[in-house]
Amino acid sequence: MSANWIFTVVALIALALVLFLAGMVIRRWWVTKREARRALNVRVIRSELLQAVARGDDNFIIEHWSSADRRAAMDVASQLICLIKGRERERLLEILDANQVLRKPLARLNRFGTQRRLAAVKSLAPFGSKAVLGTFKYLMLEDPSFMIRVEAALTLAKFDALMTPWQTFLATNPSGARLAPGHFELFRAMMPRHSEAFLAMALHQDVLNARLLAIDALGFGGGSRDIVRLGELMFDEDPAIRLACIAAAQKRADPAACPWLEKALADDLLEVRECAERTAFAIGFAPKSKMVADIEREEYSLAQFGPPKLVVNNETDGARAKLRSVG
Amino acid sequence: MTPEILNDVGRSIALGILFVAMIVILIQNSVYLAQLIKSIQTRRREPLRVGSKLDMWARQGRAAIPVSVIAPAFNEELTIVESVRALLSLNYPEFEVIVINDGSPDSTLETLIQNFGLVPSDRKGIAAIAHNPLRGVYTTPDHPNLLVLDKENGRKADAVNAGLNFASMPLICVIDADSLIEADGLLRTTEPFLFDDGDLVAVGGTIRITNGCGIGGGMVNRVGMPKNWLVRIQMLEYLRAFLIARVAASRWSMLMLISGAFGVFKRTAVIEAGGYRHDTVGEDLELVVRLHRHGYETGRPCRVEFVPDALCWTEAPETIAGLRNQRARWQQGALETLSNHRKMIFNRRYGKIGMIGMPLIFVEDVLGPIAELVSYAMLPVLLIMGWAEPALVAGFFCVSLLFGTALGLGAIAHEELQMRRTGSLRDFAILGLCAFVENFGYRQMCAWFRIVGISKFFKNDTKWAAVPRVGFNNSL
Repeated sequence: MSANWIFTVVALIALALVLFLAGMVIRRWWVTKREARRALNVRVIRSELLQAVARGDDNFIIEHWSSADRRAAMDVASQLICLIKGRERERLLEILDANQVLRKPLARLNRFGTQRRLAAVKSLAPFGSKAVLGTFKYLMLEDPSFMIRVEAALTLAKFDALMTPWQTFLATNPSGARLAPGHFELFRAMMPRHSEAFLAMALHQDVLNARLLAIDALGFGGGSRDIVRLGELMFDEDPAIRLACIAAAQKRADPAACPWLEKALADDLLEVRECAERTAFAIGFAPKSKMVADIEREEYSLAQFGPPKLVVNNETDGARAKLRSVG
Repeated sequence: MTPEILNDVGRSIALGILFVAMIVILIQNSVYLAQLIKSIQTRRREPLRVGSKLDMWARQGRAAIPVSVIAPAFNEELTIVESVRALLSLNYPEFEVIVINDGSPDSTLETLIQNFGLVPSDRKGIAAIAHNPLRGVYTTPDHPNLLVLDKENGRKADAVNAGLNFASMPLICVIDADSLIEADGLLRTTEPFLFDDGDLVAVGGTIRITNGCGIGGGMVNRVGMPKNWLVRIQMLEYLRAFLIARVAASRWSMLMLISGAFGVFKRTAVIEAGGYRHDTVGEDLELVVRLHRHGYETGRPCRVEFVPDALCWTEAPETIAGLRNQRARWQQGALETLSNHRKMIFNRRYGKIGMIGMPLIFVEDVLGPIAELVSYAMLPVLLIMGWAEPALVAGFFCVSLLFGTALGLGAIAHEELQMRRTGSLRDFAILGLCAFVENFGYRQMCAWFRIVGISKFFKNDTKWAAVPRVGFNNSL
């Protein structure tokens, strides 16, 4: 191998690296200039959008917007949309639709590559327009990627636009998977509108995860009747279901759970009994058997040691003052 | 023996040593190249920084899992107030901040008491991981989510264990008290836990250097370039380590290091594993390796992820002595971890971690620095003795240096295309120059510091050599 050949190769590599660095520096210079122009443009677009929203001009169409302007408008709108609501918000969405600002990002949802589509879903997430929500519903049901289905579901939940609990379950819980905090949050978000469906799911579904999610959601809303019906599950052979029912009752602190909580206090499983005791305490429920025992103990103390003295237990709650016999 | 024979024997030995060193360097460089290719592929598929802070908050606000941020502090009086303010102003729905004063002889605790109006509290810990005795627990009515523990000195691992005992949230975020997490850093790092099926135990973020940046209100307001070349080159090193090596390791499911400066862990997993070990100076690497080991041994291999766009800013050493202490400590920590978990090396039971990950740490941290220094020492010997053609030696040396430069430029290109957080055009050009400059002195110096770390490991030197800090207020 000749020296010349070696030095030529080394020099060529070094030159390539220097050129690469020079290219990056030039690119940075160009990007910095472009960013400065873009920042100015963004200010103009923000002002135009805000004025149009304030004027109530639903059909505000700007002929001169280039595709770069539309991208900038989307960035501006994604910030504005988090700050305004009501009629102004709707107006902003109508303006975006009229100017086809979201058309290209929506088209990106059909790209190959999960991560690229995921990025498109995230970029569209702030906008709850009809077109976006419609597309997200489709994605939630049909997209092969779990992460995209979940992202779409999170956005739909944010806009209270999720479909039925069962459809959401099928879309976001791959068979046999362990439940994650996000699953619970999705189902809780659906609660006010779907309490009937959740109750049916809790009582009649065969899939354990679906039942657990439904029971958990029932702890975050719905009527007392739902809590009463949960009592039917206290005879369920799966302790996870019994525990979920007790946890839901605890979250609601609904006295409607008292009749079946007493059964739970006599459960075969120690874990269930402990959980039921904590819930009974949270609801302020002293089961009859325990009350009788307390009264008997008080009577015995009275006979033995004289009248009881009122002691307020500050550690818990002043309202839960307990009569304790002091010898 | 005739001089000719001696000459031949010497030549053979020298070339043999060099050959072995070159093989090690070749393996190392092949790994770096594979990491670069993987990180480029990953970045092409996964665009960074999608969604603003507001979007992220809106998307996972309610669902975000509560976090206990644990920040051990030792002699941090210069930076502690800024750091704690930054932690308290994190954009996250539900979190608590636990600062542990690890027996600092300076006025770290007094500074905290004075600036945050701390008062003694009788709050008790939940878990029972062993640590040095607590001297006091403090809370403040101004910030109900701030808890300060004062304990006897026991080093970072001990301090984190104390904080872990008091952590009451499902996730813990361990950071250095002299670090600043970007406001959306927690939202980004905890996002993977949202739909985790139970395997994910830890997520790490990118560490960037604050030296030269403008800091105010506990936040990095202006990204800048320090005047010190030592720090400038470290900036490049951090980019290479985080944007290339960690990204690739994470995507290959072989991530074994969550930087001690910023990482989020599942609380139960860390407690189940027994918390941080006290008897190592590389507790961050050791913990993640132990979590992997525990996962494989209990039949539930765990996942560790890396989120490159979750940023945490920290100070880098500005002096050679500080750099030496830091690098020697990292090296020693790696060797201690390898030694403690040597059972995993080339053991099929530990999957990719045992078969590839651990051997690569061995090549990179044990053989790598030795091979690098040996090759630097042997090349002049070969030249002087006339045992190799000068052009070949020089050519090889140049190619090796150019390869390092190419990797550095690759990291800068990555940063530029994905994040663009390198300040002005001038700063960017300087960073590019660092990719060339680091080859002349810095790399060799770091290789030597690693040898120092190896020697400390064999001497079982457990003394913690401090890295001097300048403080955020002086970092401009």
